Amino acid sequence: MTSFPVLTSLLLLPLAGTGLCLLFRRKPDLCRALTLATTLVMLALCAWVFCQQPDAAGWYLREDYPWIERLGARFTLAMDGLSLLMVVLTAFLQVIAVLISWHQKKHPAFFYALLLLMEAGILGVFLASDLLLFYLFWEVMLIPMFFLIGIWGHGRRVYAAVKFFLFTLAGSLLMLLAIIGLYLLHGKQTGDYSFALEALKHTDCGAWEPWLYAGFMLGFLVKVPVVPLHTWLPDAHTVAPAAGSLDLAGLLLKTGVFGILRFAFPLFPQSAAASLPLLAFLALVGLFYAAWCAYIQGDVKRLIAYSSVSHLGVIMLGLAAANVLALEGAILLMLCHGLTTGALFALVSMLRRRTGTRELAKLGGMWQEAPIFSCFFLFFALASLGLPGLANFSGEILVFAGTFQVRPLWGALAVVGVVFAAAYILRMVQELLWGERPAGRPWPDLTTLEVVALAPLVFFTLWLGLYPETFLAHLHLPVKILLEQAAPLVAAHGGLP
Amino acid sequence: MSGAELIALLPVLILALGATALLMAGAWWPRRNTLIGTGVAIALLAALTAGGCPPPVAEVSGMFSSGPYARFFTILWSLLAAMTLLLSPRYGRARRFPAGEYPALVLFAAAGMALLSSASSLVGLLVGLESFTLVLYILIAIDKTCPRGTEAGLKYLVMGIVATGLLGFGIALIYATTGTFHFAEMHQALLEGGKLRPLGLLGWALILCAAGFKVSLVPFHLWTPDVYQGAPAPVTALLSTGSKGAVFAALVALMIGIGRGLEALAPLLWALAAASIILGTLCALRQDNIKRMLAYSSVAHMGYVTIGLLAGGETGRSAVIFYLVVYTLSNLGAFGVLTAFAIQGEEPQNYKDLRGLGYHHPRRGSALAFFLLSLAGIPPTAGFIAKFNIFHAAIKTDHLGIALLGILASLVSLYYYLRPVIVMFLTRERDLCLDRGSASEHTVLGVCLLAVLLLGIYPGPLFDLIALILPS
Repeated sequence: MTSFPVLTSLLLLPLAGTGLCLLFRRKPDLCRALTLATTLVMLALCAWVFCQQPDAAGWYLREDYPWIERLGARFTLAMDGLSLLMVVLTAFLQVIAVLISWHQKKHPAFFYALLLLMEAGILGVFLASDLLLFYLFWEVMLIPMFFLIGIWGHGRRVYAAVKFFLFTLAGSLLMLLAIIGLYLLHGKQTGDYSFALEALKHTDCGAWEPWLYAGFMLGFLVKVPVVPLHTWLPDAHTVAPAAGSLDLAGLLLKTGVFGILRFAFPLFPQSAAASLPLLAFLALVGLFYAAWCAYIQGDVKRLIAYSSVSHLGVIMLGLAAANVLALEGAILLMLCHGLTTGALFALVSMLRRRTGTRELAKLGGMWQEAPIFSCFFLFFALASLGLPGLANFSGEILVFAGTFQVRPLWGALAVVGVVFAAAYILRMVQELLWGERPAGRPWPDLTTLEVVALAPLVFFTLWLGLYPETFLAHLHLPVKILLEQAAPLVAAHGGLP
Repeated sequence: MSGAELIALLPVLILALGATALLMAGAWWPRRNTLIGTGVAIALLAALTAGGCPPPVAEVSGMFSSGPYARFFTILWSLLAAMTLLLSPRYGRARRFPAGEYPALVLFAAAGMALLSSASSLVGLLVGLESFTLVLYILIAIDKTCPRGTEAGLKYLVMGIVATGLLGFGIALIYATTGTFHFAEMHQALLEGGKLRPLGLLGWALILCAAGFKVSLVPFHLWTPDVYQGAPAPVTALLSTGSKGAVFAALVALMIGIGRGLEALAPLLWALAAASIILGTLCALRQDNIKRMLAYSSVAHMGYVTIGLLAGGETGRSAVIFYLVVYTLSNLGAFGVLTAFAIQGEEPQNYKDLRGLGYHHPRRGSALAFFLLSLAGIPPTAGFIAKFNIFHAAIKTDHLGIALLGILASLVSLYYYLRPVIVMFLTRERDLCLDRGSASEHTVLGVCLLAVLLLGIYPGPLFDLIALILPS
């Protein structure tokens, strides 16, 4: 362990990048280079941490500074295996996001500044170990996304941006209420007013526990999003720019699941255990409903957005199964989904740049027109479908295996969901890549830069599919600790289905 | 009044005497910018004196305290006056503000606010309140050529007189019950027998109604939107921040020794807070004029501050003061941006005038967005910590219902704060540019922006300061 404050610099670097971009806003080339450099340095830092070993309690790094002492809030950052993987995913996808928005024409400096600011917010969410600090970052990542959708979006961008903002904010304000409630309960019981996660885990919430748990969960479930709360997502995705969609699908949705694992489950194990059947029900409903919606979409991007909701259903099912296998699978699937769906969104925006449309009815015959594009598209589509050997499969199979151990009926139903996924993915691939090519100008194939942006995604999709143990190794300890802390979760299972 | 008491009152004297001197100077030597600059210097000098010159006595004539609490607000309102004046030169030139009167009146207003915040007796309260509202009547209508301004001034005057009547009556009732004007003795006498005496309650209610007029709590808020809209932008900045903040500062001081009396007042405070939050929020939703929107939003904000009073105790009081500071900075910043955009003394008011401003004037556009987000209470702005404190204090004292209401209203409020932001950044751009703004305006905006950001990220020092100055 070094004394160098790695975690703090992970937060400060993108903030510094934001400042520099705003400062040099008249020099877009410089901004672009700065942004890329920042994201690459971040990625290097993350890679370095990835090679470290955690201590006995599962922490890779911990940093703790005084912050608002009168409220008992501290600037505590901590990284265990779970947050490590999320941070690595963030740093990695952010490099890709910069690459795919390399030719940003409209207010480039502002765009890159927001991208970096959002990275800081997301990293803060993954690293914060103090509830007030966590909430602060939780909101910070919202504002850049609002502007990314609202300024650089297509079509009904203002509507989508406001909808996104209001939905997530409604959830997070309930969470804020729950945070204050928990803080005061803990303070009254122990006399120690603190927002530290570790301390709050030992609070006896009594009759308040279900309410507090519900407050937290609503905040997270809107973000995931779980089906009745998902309506903001297709709208946001449809209009968002390429990098925005990539971040939204790859990172922002993950913060919801992460929040459940890091905060909601360990803080309120009793209520969490009681809510598992409901969660599983919502997950399954989401899985099928979103798949069904995806099947009838005419807009490729909307289709992928719904497929994203469907995949998140599988992840939520993994959380609801709450055993080692399913949880590790769910977290792995988060990584896989981030890569594959992110890549698909990037490809769709490349498609739109060429053809000017995303309507399946107006597209077709891409395979002859743009073979390299089609190759990539097919690859990621198949990965998203869950083809063995590619990323999503490894996560999904773990989730299913884990679910079978505790609730065979749920597992069986979920596996049927994969067939649905095959249906909509194959329909999309078929209509887009084959079929009749509409008349008009020829469409150019991918440029070198675009291939460079996509190649790392291919590499890691294969890696995750073929040898996920590299990443799973970081998860064994945190999942074990989580299940120990939230013992009632495990005890909740018994009987069928 | 002894010499020591005069020294204790020195900051206020500097403001008032400086204002008189400016008034005189203006009559013979009407150079607007020089006089405004001198006004800024006088205000800063008063702030320095308040901070650096410890008072020899704790109380002046049994009416005004000169303790750290009073000094804190004296500094705050002096700085506010300085910043208001810094916002004014260009605007004042375009609107032909009278050269000497304008800075003099702003300084008088600051002196009145400082007096009000340091009141330690009911008489002091009345004197302070009247001395700055009198000034504000003139300031609001200072542009004689603008009919809206005159209308606004008249409205404020009529409402103000009603409030004064109520306040006088309330004070008389309390005096009749207790035989004293002094806060601490008054509380003791009012609570004889362990319960608030009925006449005392009536007196309290009248005082709260009068305060409600001044800070525009529902149902006494009707003047607010028209006055905000009609008054010149820098004056609106002063009116919406200082005049309300000073009244609340006095209320906090007034309620310090209230003890069990708070229980009797709780329903009243609860109703005022809830009504203000609900009505302010709902009315703000419908506005298409940013000044009117800020007016209604300030009604809601005053409702939040009232929650802090309702919660009471050390937590509630420090939450109120923190909120006041943050609200002052954010609101001053927002009106400052509008002032800086003004062409020929006409600030952009309707949302359609703000279209695409974020691109033509990225710095001030972002600053306005930032101040609005702070008013909405979104982290990492200071507005979040301020609201958090209020809700924290409310839940801590088992006022869960009103905290829930406040949180719900914050969510709704986001919509009307976002609308100008959307108009500035998200709508199609247009070519019309507004004024570039002057260096002094940019300085004020920079100070406000930095303060709001810093207090949002690292509010610890202000918390410590508030804990230090709060009399127990």
